[in-house]
Amino acid sequence: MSSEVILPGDPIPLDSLIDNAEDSDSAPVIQLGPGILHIPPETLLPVRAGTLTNLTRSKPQKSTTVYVDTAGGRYVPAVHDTILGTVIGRFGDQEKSFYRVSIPDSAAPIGILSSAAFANAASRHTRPNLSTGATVYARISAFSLALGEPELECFDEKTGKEGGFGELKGGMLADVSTGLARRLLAPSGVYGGSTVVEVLGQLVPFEIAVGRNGRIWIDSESCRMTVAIIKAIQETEEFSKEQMEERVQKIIKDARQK
Amino acid sequence: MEVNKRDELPDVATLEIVVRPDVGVTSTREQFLQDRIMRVIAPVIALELHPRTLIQIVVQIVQSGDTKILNTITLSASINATYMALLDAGVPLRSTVSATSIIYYTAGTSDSSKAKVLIDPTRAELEKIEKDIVSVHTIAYELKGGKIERLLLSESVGSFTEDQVLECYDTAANICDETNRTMREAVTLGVQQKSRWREA
Amino acid sequence: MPRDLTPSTIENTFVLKALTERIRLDNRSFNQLRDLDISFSSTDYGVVDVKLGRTRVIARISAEITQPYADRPYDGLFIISTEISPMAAPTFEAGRKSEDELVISRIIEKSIRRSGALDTEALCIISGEKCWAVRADVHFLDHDGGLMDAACIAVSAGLLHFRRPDITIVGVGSRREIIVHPITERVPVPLAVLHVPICVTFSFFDVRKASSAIAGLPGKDNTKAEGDDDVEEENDSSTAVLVDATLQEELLRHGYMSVTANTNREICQIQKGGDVAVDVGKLLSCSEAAIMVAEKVTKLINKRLKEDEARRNVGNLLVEARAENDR
Repeated sequence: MSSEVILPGDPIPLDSLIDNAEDSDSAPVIQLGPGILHIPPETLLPVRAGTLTNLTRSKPQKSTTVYVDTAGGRYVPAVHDTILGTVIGRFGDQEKSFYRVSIPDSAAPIGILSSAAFANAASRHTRPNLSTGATVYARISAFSLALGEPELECFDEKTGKEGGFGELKGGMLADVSTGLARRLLAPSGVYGGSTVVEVLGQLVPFEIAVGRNGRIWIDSESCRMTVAIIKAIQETEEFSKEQMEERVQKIIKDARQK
Repeated sequence: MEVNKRDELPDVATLEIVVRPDVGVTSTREQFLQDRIMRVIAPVIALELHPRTLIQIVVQIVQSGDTKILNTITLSASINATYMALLDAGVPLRSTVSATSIIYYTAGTSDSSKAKVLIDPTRAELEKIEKDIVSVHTIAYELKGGKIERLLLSESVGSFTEDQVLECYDTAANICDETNRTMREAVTLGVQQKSRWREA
Repeated sequence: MPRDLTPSTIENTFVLKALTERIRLDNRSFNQLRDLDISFSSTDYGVVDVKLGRTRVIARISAEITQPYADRPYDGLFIISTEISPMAAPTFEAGRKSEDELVISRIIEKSIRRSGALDTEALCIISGEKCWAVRADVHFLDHDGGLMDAACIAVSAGLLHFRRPDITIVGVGSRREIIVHPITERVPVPLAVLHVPICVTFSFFDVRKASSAIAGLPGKDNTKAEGDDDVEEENDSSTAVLVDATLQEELLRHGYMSVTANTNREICQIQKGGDVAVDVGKLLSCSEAAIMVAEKVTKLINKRLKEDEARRNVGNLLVEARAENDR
């Protein structure tokens, strides 16, 4: 991984990013991630400020993903992202009804969730009934800025089962930066070593749901503990690993003592 | 970046700039600033990547560096600030922008060709020479990869010669280059701060 | 345009439940102010930057010479402008006044202008002809609750910090002329500030609503007895009173009361909103708390003013140049 800070309009040093030492017979495959705009035929233009990052994969074919990694910024919905939203209204008839879901701080602030887009929602009677103000953990199933509101669904894409999606009850919501949300969702190890969640998990049992739109949901044994966990996650965003571990331990210890 | 009421555009983002004065209510001066900032910033934002959205920029002047008759410092500072804000918000941008103010004033001589130059002055400096100002130039450049790409704004008031304007462009290019480097440093610092968690 | 932020049911229930356990989300106690920071501009007089937690307000005081109102020839003018731009939060629209904004400007107006914090008679130059018009522009830069408290602190501190240019009247009768001495030539004059009003907002949470919401029992709160049978309970535990609410707490609260007080233990204004009944006991305890906060905040303002003066007063020039010194 390279870690070069790049500004919009800077040239992208492609050659140094792509590892084409071996099998140079086949042309390297480059995938463009967020923050890089392709202007045909072959101009690549970074459009955000951040760290130019490359990830090389060998399966299914050898390819390199190049993207600009940023820690913050506004959330722009993308298909497959999981989000935490609040139901703000309902429209349609009994047979076919939809929920309007607000996705706070997003470039497209209102999403549409069909009442049929839940696990076990084949029959009208098994569909959940969400009231205004309910918080849902959902996935964006279709979205394009040009075409309108993001479409949401509340079941696991692979299994068709609930998979943790749907209405959340109890617990508390909190805001984090979009960068931190991405980090919390990344598979363990991608960003090297333990994350806040792992450190917390060893200290105290709790539930967490992370929305890519920069919202997290936490539930734990008590109000005090939930407040402490939220504080631990929010406060340590910019800490180095050691600092973070130390701080998290202190916050949880304090919460226990009270 | 919130959805707009009814002036949404189907293929590009709508750009709205609001300039708020430090003292009093919005007047033609703010309208002027809004218009100029819009002209500089609009071509740099990749508006087509955010169709049907509103990009709203609010510029609040906290302390104006200009004397009453000028607004060049406010303009160049607003452009720089607006750009940095867009960068921070993650709005897609094509390149970098920086702006500067150049002021020519007579230093006791009546010969305007021997005018002295003041670059991005403070208000105290401006007040001293206010009566001797000959011409005022606000210049914004677009930079790509740290190199000057094109001129985005050249706003000149007063009496000046062609040579002086050309000289201005050169001076401004150097200054913008420097400002650009400062911005880059600031961004690098910010990124480092935000990725401290990567350190073991 | 973005609609008002509507907090979800989860947040609502959790905040109330936490309050019944006497926990606030930022671990503050109920009557604790957020971190307050006041700083003055290093160049201009009367520019104050107030940070109250994540809320940030800048006030800017300016003065110019105009004609007084015909019916008040001995009074100068004092205008407070509190227009909230989308800078504070996207929910505020440019050029349109929201209800919140109206409430905020009214409270600030009542707290500072109508309480006579600034002696407008001292702004008179020539009666009926010339007077100073002092203007306070309040800029809301970031909104995390407590806008009016922060704005009030900013304007009060700004008035104390502001200096207007010194003037001399020469000539007699209709030939009188006013000479304005630039601040570089003569030591500028402070405004006649009579007292320093500080606004403190208390947020009320009806905790009984919380317990019914937690238990999932609908509607018990609607029948909230106005009868006298449970007055005692009302006093003790049924309402939680918070000082300096964050935006989230503001959105979820059931009622509020803004009390403006000064260090002379005077109450300048009280404004109450929402549907929580406030009895005498609570009114008194809130007022007492407001006075304590006012004392604390005034102390901080004075401390910062001293620091600022020390910074400006390099080489003791200001003291030497003062008019009241012996020549």
